[in-house]
Amino acid sequence: MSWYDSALLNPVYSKALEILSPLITETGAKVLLALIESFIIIMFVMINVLVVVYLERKLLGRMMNRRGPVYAGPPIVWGFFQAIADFLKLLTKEVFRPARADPLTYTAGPAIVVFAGLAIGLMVPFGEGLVGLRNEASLLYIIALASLEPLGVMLCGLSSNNKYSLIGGSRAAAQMISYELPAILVLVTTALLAGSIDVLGIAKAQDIWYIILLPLGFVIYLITVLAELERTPFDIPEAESELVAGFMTEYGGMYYGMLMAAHYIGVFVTACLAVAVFLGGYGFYGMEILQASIHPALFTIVTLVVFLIKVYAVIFLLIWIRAAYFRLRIDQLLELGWKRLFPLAIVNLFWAMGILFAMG
Amino acid sequence: MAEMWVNFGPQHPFTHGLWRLKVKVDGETVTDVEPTIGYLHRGVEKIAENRTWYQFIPYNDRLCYVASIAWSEGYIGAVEKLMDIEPPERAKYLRTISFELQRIASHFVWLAAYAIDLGNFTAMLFAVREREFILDLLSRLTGHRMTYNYPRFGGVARDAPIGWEDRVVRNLNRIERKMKDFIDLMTENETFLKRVQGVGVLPRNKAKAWGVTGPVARGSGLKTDVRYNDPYLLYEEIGFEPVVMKDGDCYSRYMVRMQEIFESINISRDLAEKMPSGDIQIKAPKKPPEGEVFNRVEVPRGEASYYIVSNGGNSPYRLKIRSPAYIHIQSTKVIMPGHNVADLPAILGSLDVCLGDTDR
Amino acid sequence: MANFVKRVIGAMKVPAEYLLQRPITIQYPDERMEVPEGYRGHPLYTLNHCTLCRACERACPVNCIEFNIETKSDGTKYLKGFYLDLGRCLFCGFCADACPTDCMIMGPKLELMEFERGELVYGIKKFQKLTKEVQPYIRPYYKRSHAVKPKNCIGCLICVMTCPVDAISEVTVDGKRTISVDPEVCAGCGHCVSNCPGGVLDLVEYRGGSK
Ligand code: SF4
Ligand code: SF4
Repeated sequence: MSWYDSALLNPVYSKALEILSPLITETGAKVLLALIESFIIIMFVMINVLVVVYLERKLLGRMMNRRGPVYAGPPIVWGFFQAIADFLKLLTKEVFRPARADPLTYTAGPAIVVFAGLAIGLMVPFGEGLVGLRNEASLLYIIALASLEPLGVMLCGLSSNNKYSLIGGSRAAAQMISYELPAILVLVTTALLAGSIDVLGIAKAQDIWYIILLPLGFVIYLITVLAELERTPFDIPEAESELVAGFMTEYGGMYYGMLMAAHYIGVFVTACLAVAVFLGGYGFYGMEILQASIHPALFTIVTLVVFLIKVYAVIFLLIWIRAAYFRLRIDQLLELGWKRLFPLAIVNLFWAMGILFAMG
Repeated sequence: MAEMWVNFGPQHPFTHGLWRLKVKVDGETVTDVEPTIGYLHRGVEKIAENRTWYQFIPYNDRLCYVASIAWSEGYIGAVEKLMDIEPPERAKYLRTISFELQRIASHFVWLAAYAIDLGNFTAMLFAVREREFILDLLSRLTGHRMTYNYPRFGGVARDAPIGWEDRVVRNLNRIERKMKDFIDLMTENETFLKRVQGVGVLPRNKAKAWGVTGPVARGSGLKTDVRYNDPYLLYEEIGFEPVVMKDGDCYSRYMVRMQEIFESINISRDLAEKMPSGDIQIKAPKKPPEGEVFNRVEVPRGEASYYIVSNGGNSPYRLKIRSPAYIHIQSTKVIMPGHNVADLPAILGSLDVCLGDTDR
Repeated sequence: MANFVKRVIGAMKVPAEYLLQRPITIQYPDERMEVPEGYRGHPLYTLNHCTLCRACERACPVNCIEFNIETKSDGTKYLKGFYLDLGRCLFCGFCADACPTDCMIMGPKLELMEFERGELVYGIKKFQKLTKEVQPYIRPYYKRSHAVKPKNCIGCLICVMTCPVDAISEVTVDGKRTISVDPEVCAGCGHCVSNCPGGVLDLVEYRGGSK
């Protein structure tokens, strides 16, 4: 299953296949179109990343009683192109590597982080039929990829040959073990309720949104998301006041740009995942009636818009939290993870089992 | 991880100036610290010997540029003692008000730095925003925003413009109202309390032994304040009472400063409301007679003192400045070992060092 | 527990409050803050009435003023060069305080950045240009003033002629011609002070009737 199966892109796909097949055989055409599809998905994610960056800057600015970016950009969304300007600036900067850094891991770190984020985007159901890669066990795949990101951060930290980076990297590792377990437990709980370990299946199974059934689970998941994204109050690995920039200290130019992009890709895809798992995915009340009454392609667009609205609501929450809290210490995070979130996640699991029994 | 030395500074976001803290870390735990200063040495004491008494006034502003009026007050007070003159009543009022306004401004700078040290940008911007209202008052009074060059031997440089007193009351009312933001955002924020409560304890006897002064000493339960112990200007008439907290941790130092902001607001507002009219300057002699003098004032960071020897010449024969921050930087050696690396900014921020006057 | 929840949720209130308010920042190059009256910008050598006394040079703590004065064959002095190094200036205002003729003033200009250190040394040409530029903004610090009671007034009445707002009038005291100044009318421009040949006028602060 791919985006081409959706009502939106299917006609285009069959047309393109028809035209291309005589030129470069059917297999060749399919491969080419698959490549184009992944490009489309990446572009879709990257455009959303631009929006996330803009929203973060603008909303954070307004929350702090200032204006945020103002100049680069079209009217109404003043400052929208600021992220692009930043990107261009980073692109033109010299890419350098510290003399005694480990060349392989130093370059691999940012690449892994970016890859992990984008690859999760492949599995997220953005709308009716808009799943890049349908898999019966996609939740497992997402959990596996999500734990790849801190690995990249760790590699960045350990390979830079810098003491700040080293401490940052080891902090990332410590952070990972503290939030990973509660996060997985909560996701498994939702899978248990839905009776499926497919993200699309979980999203579709939510007649009542799981945020209502499992409020505790949502809170735990939100906290672990913050920890996973290394955002305030858990921006411990990059803690700029004591570690300069943590694991990013030795990165400049486009490497730094990649790490920043990876952060916002992470924000977007984890918000997507939270929506798919807790907020009913792209579903909304009265969806079936609408589906029957309008054109399938239009319906796909409606579901996509609904999904994005939910995603941006979650992202708004993340930005809001960033404006309000202070950075915690690593030992406090470990304590929180193991002594509070882990038991609460188990309570959440039992709660879900209770719901299952009650519903028969 | 094995033990290693990490350099915090001279260029580091945590240092609040130009100095270096060598930190011996064992993983995340700090086992030893070694402060190194001297990167900002300008030889101010030697410069004094080559300037006339009058010409040296602006240099005091530059000892600590966030508390410039307080430092010039120390020098002016010392030389006035030597000349045996007393400023007229209105000048005393203006000097006391500007002194207290300067304390509020300086505490806001500290608050901003402390918020960013602990990872919150919002509180930092709010503190800078509120400071702007003090700078507005001071720039109207003195003509500058940072290095005011305001007090003079036997008076002040110029009188307050018409309507300045009302403006003082108005702006201070606003600041008092907006202090609620900081109470919500910091004093009653769980993530902030987690970072400061019980961290960086400097017990009462150690505080006394190491000779710390100012808010740091008062946070450790020592009732020392030059304005209270050895009143100058108008503090005798006001009946000044220092704020004292007992615990000696970062939180009590924070609370001492926060309450001092309120206290200073009250003092300067009351004085502004009953400001007398009259002369602002008496004719001071060109140079003081032979002799030596010791004068101390309570600058926002603690007790500053001036020891001046005059041989009746055009310039001081010897001028010695005692800086409170110099002692506070030393005291990192007692406070810091045993803490987490992430606690270092929290502790250093609560000591509020200023390198301009430390290195002189 | 309720307290804990309040302490966690309470902090979220403040950013939300400000999200709905207008930002307080000023968009610097487009909008500017009002410069308060009497602002002490950089020292400005206006060349008007300079008596070449070099009091400013002596008053400066950092020796950043440099006069190049030449004596003509007939004994008169003239100013050949004048340099003020703003890179060293402390912006203390002592030079303006010391100047007897208000030739050296603290101008209202704020933006002084240059690309090279050397361009911060201002010469006569630059000051001439600057003086023209800021002329409309130059105001004495005292908003209202009245002249000091003239003790040695010789009764030349130049001040009466120069006053742009007719605040000074001629009176006769004990058969001697002298002047009287109406402080409510006086605009504090200082023209009378700079034109008085006897140097007996001075600006003092006047704060209205009550204070
Ligand atoms: S402002 Fe002060 S430092 Fe600058 S030229 Fe005048 S006297 Fe010298
Ligand atoms: S003090 Fe005034 S009059 Fe004297 S030289 Fe300087 S600018 Fe000219």
